[in-house]
Amino acid sequence: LVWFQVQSAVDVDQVLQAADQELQRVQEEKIPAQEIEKAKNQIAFRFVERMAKVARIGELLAHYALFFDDPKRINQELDRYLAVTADDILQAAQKIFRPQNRTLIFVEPEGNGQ
Amino acid sequence: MRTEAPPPGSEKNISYPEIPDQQLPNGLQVLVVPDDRLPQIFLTLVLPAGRVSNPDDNLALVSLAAEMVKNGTHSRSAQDISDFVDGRAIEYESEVLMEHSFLSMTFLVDQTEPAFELLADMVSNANFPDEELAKTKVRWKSHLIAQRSQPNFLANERTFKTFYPNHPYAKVSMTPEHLENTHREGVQETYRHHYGPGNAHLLMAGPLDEKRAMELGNRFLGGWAKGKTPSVSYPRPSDIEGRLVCLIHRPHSVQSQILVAGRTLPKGDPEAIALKVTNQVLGGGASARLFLNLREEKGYTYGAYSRLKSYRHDGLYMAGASVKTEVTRESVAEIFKELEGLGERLPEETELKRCQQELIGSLIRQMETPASIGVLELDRRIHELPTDFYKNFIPEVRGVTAEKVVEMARRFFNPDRSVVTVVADRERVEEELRGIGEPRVYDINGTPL
Repeated sequence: LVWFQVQSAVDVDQVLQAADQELQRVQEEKIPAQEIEKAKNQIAFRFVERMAKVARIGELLAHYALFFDDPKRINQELDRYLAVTADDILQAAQKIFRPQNRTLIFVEPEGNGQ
Repeated sequence: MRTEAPPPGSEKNISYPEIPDQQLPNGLQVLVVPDDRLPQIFLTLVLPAGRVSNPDDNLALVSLAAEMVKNGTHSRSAQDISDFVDGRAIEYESEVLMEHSFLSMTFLVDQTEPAFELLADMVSNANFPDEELAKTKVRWKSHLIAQRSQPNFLANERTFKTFYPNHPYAKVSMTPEHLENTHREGVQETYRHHYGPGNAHLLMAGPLDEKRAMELGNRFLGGWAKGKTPSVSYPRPSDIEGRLVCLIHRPHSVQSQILVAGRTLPKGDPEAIALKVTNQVLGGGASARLFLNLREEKGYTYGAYSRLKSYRHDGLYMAGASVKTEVTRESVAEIFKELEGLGERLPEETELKRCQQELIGSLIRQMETPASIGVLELDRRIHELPTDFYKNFIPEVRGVTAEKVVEMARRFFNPDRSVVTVVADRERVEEELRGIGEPRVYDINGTPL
């Protein structure tokens, strides 16, 4: 899900074009190592943060039990993220960000948007 | 369907950790909560610079200083800092309360040294670039405007202004004019004046022992030049007489925000715990009297609560609700009734016991992470509470008797000595409010009407 909230004066087609360019880029160019490291650092941070409270651990266990039938996954999940390579991202982007694979929704205010 | 609440679980014995006081040679006080369950560290630096430390004519300065230390130092631009913290997943937050500023960082253990290095740079070398100040001012101005459309903000601000005329505790919020009149020099001067290791506390919580923590403190903050951090002094504010009614005219409001407040006790008062229990019975949650009466029985509101605020020299209880405008007078009357009722009859044993359990449970939940234990300890230190305050908290809460609750309620929950603030459409409530006292009427900007 990619979304934008734009001021009413902005041309929506232009925003869409810019978004398409970025989506195109991740399908064509490998993400630089530094950017991948930044993303992994942030994911690791959020993951560890969730493990600090019993209630959040409970939520995670329920999540893995419900969707994967495997609550133990909580112990491997972070490693799975940290193992992702630039090639993996490129492949995933090519598979998912196809124009035939998307739905566009525009929500516009009535009248002049006041 | 369940019609009865399940019984509470059995109580766990918890032990509150012993956390020694330590100090760097430059005066910075250090406390460490070692805990190696997770690879995450939490740092907080507390400075004795709060809203009260602002000069009377500019309530923006202390907050701007705390916000802007992350927007540029002598060797790093705002963009450098933002790339630095983003790339390393270091979370930075600042908060300015009544009497203190808190600068906090959370990060994974492999980022410890970069995080310390950045914190040291921010507290000693911030340089407040003009263009960053301009951006912050624009952002904050729109926030200030939005804030004035919030009835609970308006009621809160008016309450403090009414209780504390000519006292620093009335310094609730800056105005757009304050921002307008702020220049880089002013923020820099505030920073120079208030940011120093003397009177400051540093908390480190996470997988580090005391030795490692002190080593980090010395290495990164040991060179923080000894500064005289002034602690602001001001007298205990004087009492108000009788009941004051304030009405903030918010045209076309469909609801009335009601806040009834009274003077209580300063932070660290020996009777603070008895007061907490008493407040819990009155309005501490969804099974307390205000909620059961105004919401469950009468259906006036989604929720009615009371809370306690306490500072170095004074405290307040604040009881309130947001109600349908047509029942404004009735709601005030019911709040008064609950305030008085608590001082007239002993609470049932089950009710008292439940409230005590709620307070004990919430302390235990607050002790869940090393960071939150550290914050409790910081609070204890900056307010100079007794060493064993949190250690004895549970037995002291349990020791509060029904008689003590009645005594506290009689002393403090007195509608005849209170400030009643209502935020509503004047046309619809002014007349009926006269029944409880002649209202002083203000617009949403605080100008008397």
